Amino acid sequence: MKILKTTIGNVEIRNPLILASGILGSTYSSLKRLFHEGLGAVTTKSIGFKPRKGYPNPSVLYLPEIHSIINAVGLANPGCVKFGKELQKIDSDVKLIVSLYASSPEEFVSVIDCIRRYNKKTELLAFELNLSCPHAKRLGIAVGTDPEIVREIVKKVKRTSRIPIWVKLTPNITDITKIGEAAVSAGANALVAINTVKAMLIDIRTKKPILGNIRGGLSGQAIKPVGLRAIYDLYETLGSKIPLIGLGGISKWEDVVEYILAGACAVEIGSAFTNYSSPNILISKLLKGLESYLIHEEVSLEELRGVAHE
Amino acid sequence: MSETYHYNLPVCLPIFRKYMENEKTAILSFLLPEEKSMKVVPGQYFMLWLPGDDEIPIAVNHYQKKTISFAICGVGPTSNAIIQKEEKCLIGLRGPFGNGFNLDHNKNVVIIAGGIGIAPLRFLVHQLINNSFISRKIILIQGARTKTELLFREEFEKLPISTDFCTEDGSYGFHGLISEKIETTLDNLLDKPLNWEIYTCGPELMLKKILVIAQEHSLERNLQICLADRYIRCGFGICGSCFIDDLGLSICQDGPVFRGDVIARVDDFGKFGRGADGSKYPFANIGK
Repeated sequence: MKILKTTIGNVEIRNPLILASGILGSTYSSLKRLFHEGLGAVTTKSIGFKPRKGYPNPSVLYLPEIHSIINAVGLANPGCVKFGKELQKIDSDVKLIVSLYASSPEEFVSVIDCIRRYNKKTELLAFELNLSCPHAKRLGIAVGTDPEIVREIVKKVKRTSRIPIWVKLTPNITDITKIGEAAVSAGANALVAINTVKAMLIDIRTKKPILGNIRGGLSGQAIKPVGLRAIYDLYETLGSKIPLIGLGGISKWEDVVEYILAGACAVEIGSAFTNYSSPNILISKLLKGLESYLIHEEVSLEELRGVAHE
Repeated sequence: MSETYHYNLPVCLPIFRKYMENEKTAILSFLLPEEKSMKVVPGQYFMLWLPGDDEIPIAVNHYQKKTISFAICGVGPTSNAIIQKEEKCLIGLRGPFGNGFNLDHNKNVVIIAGGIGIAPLRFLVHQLINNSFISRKIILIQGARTKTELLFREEFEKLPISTDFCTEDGSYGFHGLISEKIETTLDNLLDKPLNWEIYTCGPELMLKKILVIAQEHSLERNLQICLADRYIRCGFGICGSCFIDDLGLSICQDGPVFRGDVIARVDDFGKFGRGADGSKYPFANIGK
């Protein structure tokens, strides 16, 4: 499937499908498995400086009517020391992106240093800065909606890391392109959009919010049009020079094509793995569909990128 | 088969009946309101939500017609809060989740339960008795620290099964650890090994010992292990919190029941669990 080879800046992966952060990526075993089942690359769950338990359950719920997931996990993670050690167990052929969160530029640098310290030999594809988690106080979205803070974080991180820096953007903002521009001006190597959309659920019997954290984020098919528009806007503003990675509700190969037409050069998949007994069933369906489309249309992935703008 | 259903979101139902099986174990039952039937397999579990507190995985203890029951042992803050609740109090039910026990065979059966691990196995015992058109032997070996923790003992003694009890303090049945009991029992039973299917649930260190015994008899493929000491968050295999190393299988969806030959390839089995933050902790340090 040579036709599916994808370039993101100066890194190449075997196909444009990447595991989205926060889904299935909490352990080295699941990351390894997802890569070996056919994805082009895999992204870890967001890692911070210290361990975090996250919010009480229910924190991840499936909404079958809209094929979507609402979650308020709250950045649960074992911290960069333990996770850095865990990543050592991943084979070097796995294309790995490490997602990070922090509350200040200095803390981002510390987390990156820590992960690098334990993984000197592993060639990470990129660090993905989670500037967009919608439900963790003073983290994520709080730092990701202010262009000045974003610029400062990316600048500082770029100074210390030779590994590409991808910035994941929130849709919970009036104009996503302002944050995108800030990240790019500070040297971001790619933009990833979108994170989850702010959401909640209420139980009508107890008359109380269901999520342990009350508020959470929506992912899955319901948000596909939102993600698509974000990528379309970013491409329109920033042009084809900056790689865009699209996500939000991708569950079939046609969705992948739509995102590429809007301007993405690769996509991330997450919630769509729900209800598949094995991830490779979905992965091979997406890859086969995409490949046939490219052959039928006699077009390469690169040529297809952003065509909806022409 | 009529159409079945599943609760993806917690459905809050009043506790219909509650009784204490011993001072720290409550049996809560709920009436399912739907007209349709729910397909529930022994070994499957529900996420039980105590509004304003937390949500925890609890194995189905019994299910008949529209009544579903759970045996909840107060071990942590949420389970202790749930067992304090009285009838009519609302509890959210989400499920059933997970891969349950496989009952599709004609073999004789050995069931090994340790402590609260009897919870899913009680449902299994009743299903095996009710659905069995063949005459088969069912042997239940149940162990606990002390007599009052041999949950449902009087009920089991009235059923058409062989029972064998053991307590660590010798207050009822065999005086000693269940693993000692099993060793001798299995040695006596397994002259025709392929005719036996073994089911077990309990503390993971006990399960590990049972796996070793089964392996010594080359019976790991006939062994079905239900993991119980594990953190579960989403219940449907998507959040990644409960994946086990190094197979990369989820406990919440691929498990909690695994065959012995599969669990034998899990490095963490009987050694490490993972907490809510994803970090590993050794089983030995939490008093199991």
